[in-house]
Amino acid sequence: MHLLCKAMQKKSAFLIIVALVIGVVIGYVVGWGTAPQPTIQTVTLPPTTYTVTVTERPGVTPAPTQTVTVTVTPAIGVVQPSEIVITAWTQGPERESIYRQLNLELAAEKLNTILRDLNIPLTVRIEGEFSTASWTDYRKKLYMALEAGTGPCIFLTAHIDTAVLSENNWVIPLDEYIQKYWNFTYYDVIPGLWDAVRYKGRVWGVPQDTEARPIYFNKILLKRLGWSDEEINDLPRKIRDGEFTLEDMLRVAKEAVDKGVVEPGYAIWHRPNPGPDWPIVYLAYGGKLYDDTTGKLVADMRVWRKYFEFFYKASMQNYRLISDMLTSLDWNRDIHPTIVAGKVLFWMGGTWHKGQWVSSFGLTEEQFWEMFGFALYPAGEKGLKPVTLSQPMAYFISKACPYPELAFLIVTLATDPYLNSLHAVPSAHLAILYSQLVNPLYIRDRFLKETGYMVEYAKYQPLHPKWGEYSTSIFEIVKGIETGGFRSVDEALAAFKNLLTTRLGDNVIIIE
Amino acid sequence: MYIPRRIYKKIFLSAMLLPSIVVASIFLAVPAALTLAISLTGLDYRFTWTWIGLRNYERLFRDPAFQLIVRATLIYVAGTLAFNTGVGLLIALITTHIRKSLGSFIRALWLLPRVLPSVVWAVLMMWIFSPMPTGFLNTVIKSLGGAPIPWTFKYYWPFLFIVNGFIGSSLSAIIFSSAIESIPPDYIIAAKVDGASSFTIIRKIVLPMIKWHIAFFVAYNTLSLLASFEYILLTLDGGPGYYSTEVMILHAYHLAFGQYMVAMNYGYAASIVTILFIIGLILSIIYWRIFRLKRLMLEARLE
Repeated sequence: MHLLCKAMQKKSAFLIIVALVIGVVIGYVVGWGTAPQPTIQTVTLPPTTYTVTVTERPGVTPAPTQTVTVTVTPAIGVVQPSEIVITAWTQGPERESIYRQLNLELAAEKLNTILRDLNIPLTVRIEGEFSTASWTDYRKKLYMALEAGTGPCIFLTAHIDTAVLSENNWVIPLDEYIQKYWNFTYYDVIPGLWDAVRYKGRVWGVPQDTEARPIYFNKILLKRLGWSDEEINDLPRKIRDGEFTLEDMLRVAKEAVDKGVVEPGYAIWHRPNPGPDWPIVYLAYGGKLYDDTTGKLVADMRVWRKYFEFFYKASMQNYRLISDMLTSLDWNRDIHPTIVAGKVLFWMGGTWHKGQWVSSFGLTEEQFWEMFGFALYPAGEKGLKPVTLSQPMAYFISKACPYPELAFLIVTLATDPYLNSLHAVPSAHLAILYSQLVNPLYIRDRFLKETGYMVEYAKYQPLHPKWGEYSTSIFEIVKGIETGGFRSVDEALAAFKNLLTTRLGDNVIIIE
Repeated sequence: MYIPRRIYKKIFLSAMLLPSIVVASIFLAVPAALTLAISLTGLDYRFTWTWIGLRNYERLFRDPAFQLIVRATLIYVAGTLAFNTGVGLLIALITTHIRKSLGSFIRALWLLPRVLPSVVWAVLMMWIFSPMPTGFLNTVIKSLGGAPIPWTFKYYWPFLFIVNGFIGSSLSAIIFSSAIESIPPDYIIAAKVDGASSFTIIRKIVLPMIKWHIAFFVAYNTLSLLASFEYILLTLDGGPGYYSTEVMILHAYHLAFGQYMVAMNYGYAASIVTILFIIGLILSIIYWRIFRLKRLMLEARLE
């Protein structure tokens, strides 16, 4: 610039600024000109009237029925070939559960086939993703999107989120749609599952799958301990009949450590992070989590004492059954490989872990049946019943969805015995429809057949917006006990009570 | 139109400062004010602004975990600061006493952890120091006939100091080494002529001449460590025991964005962050006074 004289400098500067302004204007015009055009031009079709027989109490036959005349104004009407995009987000995190997303796409294909055959120039496309991130990351992303109004039309999440989703008005209640499409598939849903998605009297989601959380025991290690094959194969029955309790489990585990069959700390393993499994032992000791009359969570300190005593006895400070490093380990790097290598005697896991071990961790089906047996969580004491916990997944329809009924139709078409079995078998989740229990794909799987009975003993986590903090507090105290942070059960119990009162306030009823 | 020179100068200066003022307000001042405001509400999963005054702070001080997180923060900030300053100084001294090209090369190598994506660095360190027999160090120890040592499980504070220290000390090494290299060589030559040993030179000449740089780095690093939690989250996540390494800012993160069902306790978490903000403000004022940073600003003492 110094090569130019003052006047030329001024002129050049002026020209640069003018060029910049013209460039911005051109860019804006080009952007406006090439913006994607909306593809839907709507025309309303005349409404149709039809009669529907509505069963008053679903799942109970014969049920009182009533005939209702329904007038339906179609949600959409089209005049030229067009495409409707329904966004859908689903979550694994394990890749084996990918049919949660694929089933929606297959359902859309079913619908498109019908539309094609009827010469209706409309296609429905499912757009979205199957997430393999952790549940915390997926929920964070989902909640933020729903709050911002940019969430997907259909999304999958655990039933436990129902309370939060409903309280924040992020999803629409589905009772009317379920009644309308009852005869498509909803008559077939195992009735208990509706309880898992019913909050404040309304149904908010469509169950997608369910599971059970059994205790896997290593048969080879038990044999090395001196058990005979009959005793090993009889263990699930003994647990189911209440003859083998949690105290017996501690005893057997202690024997294994003392005799050197397992290394200290490798007798009982559980998950390393917060999650649904933490209240199971509390339920096994007969504890209550939810009060129906007040809608508040419940903490029975007498039962929590037994719970923390169980973990305290099992920790490295006493019987040395649970490694103090367990809560610092990583699922995929440390935990699954160690269990698959046959180093752990009791694993408090989930049915889908079998699917993961066979698909991603190099265990063959034969090896699985040789190495592992599985049973309910034993009752805490004699006289109580064995339990397991199920956390069904459900599809929800968000309030911001522009085509809610179409989205619901997609979900309805995805909820069919074949498609659901395509999901259930490789990912080792349990059936949600009665027809699945006789579906050829489903019954061929020995594991699903042998775990089917667990659904009857299954309990659910309570639906309450503050449940997550309750559950996380349990985990934090157990972590503290196992790592030696608490020197006695009284200390742990006091810390637990403190956490509950600070974080939940009057959302929890504490029974001393 | 004739603008008086004085006013023209003021307008010119304002225009030059405007971009940075805008950026600082939008990205620094406004979020700080918002966080302060959120801490006075009960913002949680319901996403509604309900003013509850200082109730969050009451809850915080009565929370039994509060003592634990303050203790963890103190240990973390003090330890990592000492590591960063000490090791950075050491690296700077060593690399300036050898051939210049070799020195620059070593400093560049030392910078590598800082330019690695934080997740990669965290995963790498977790593998090296894994307490399981399958970790890198434990495999080496086992092959030499020893028993595996639970590194991250028992020695978690040294582990965290190392993980964060490798990141922070690279910056201090660069600052200190450039400061050392800008010391006029006459002083060093004069001292050598007088027969001073290298150690005496370092103690009596080099360190006093770079004291402004050390002061600046200590002040900057303290404030930055108060708000740093990335590597703790990626490696130990507040563990391995009951709130062992849960620093205040990590606890705020967990309350707002983490844990099993995404607690979304925004109001409560904001109160922790506001307290950190106030501590940072107080510390800045203290550092301003102690290190007489005003004199630092007036003249170019920091090249």
